Amino acid sequence: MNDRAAGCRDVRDLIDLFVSDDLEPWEADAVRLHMGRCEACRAEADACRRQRERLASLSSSQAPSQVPPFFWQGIQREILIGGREAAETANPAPAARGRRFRLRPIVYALAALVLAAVTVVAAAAFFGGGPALPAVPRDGIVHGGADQPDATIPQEVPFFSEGGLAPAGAPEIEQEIEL
Amino acid sequence: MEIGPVGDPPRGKRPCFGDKSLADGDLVLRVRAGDGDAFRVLVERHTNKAYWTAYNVVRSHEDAQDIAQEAFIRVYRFIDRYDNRQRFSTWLYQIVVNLAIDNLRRRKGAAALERVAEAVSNEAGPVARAELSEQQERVWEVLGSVPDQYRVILVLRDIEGLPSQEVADVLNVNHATVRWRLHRGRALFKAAWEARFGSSAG
Repeated sequence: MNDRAAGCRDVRDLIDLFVSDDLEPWEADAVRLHMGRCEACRAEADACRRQRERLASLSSSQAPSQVPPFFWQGIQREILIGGREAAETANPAPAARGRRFRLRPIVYALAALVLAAVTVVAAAAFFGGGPALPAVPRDGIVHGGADQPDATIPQEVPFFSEGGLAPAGAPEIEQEIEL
Repeated sequence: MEIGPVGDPPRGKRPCFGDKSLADGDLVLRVRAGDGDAFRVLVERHTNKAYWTAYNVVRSHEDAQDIAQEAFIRVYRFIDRYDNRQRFSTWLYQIVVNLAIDNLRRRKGAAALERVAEAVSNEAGPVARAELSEQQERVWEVLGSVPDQYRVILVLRDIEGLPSQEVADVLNVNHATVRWRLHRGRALFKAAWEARFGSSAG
């Protein structure tokens, strides 16, 4: 009995691999020998077979076709865009294109928006925003919260003021900050 | 089969996609030579495999569709890198599984996990999921509770039926690792199944 129990412990972790034929020959022989005299391990092997059958029921070979009409067109279009072919006439109408390409206009629009915002901020900083931002209002209180630049920009004020790069713009922006 | 661009084949000259006379390796050679029709045959032949493998891993209809599409685009772009000594399907599985794993990694995080859970519980799933039997539905649900790295192994070995050595090639791991993960994944699936449906169910 003890020998048999020990055999079960040794074999139990190999049974599923035995069932799927994933053991080395000598391992498989040992499992087969043990199962010849152990009903519990044979039952375990049956359970493993049933589990494999359950999983195999999800196999693509048994599954219905899941290819949408635009699947090939999506691939085709991407390949054409990739430069291998330039047959524009072969492209399907936009409505028929694959799903993966529908988001592109949105991505482009967002990229353009970000670029425009960066351009505006950069232009404001370069042509007049720079000297005005650090200005301290006459009441001595910095309005606008902690996110206002306060350490680096004051050093630039004299530079821009003296250099006259954007003297005209500075007062306007300063006035905005005071508000 | 006519050598031509990757476009819609001329009327009357469309290849027979069910034709098994040309092996995948032969089709690959034709694609390398610029035969767009051959590529389309490859796509038609393996799309279901690519889609369902991705779907069983990422468990999202739309993501699986994107992954399958992207996989074939990569096949086309990198067709010169395909090693003819390897089965084409192994190479395709490699690409699909890598894309699926990347997809899972991107979805990590609370929001992504919610999305996966939602996909599992609410999504009508693939259109064909409505056609799944009750038993398949159960298997699908329990499979979703198995952690990613073990689920991938179960999908390749027990669902798609790839030999262990091919699974090792697809995942670029050694045979011992495949064996261990396979055993662990099966144990996890079994525990989840019994917790949900009892040991005698199905």
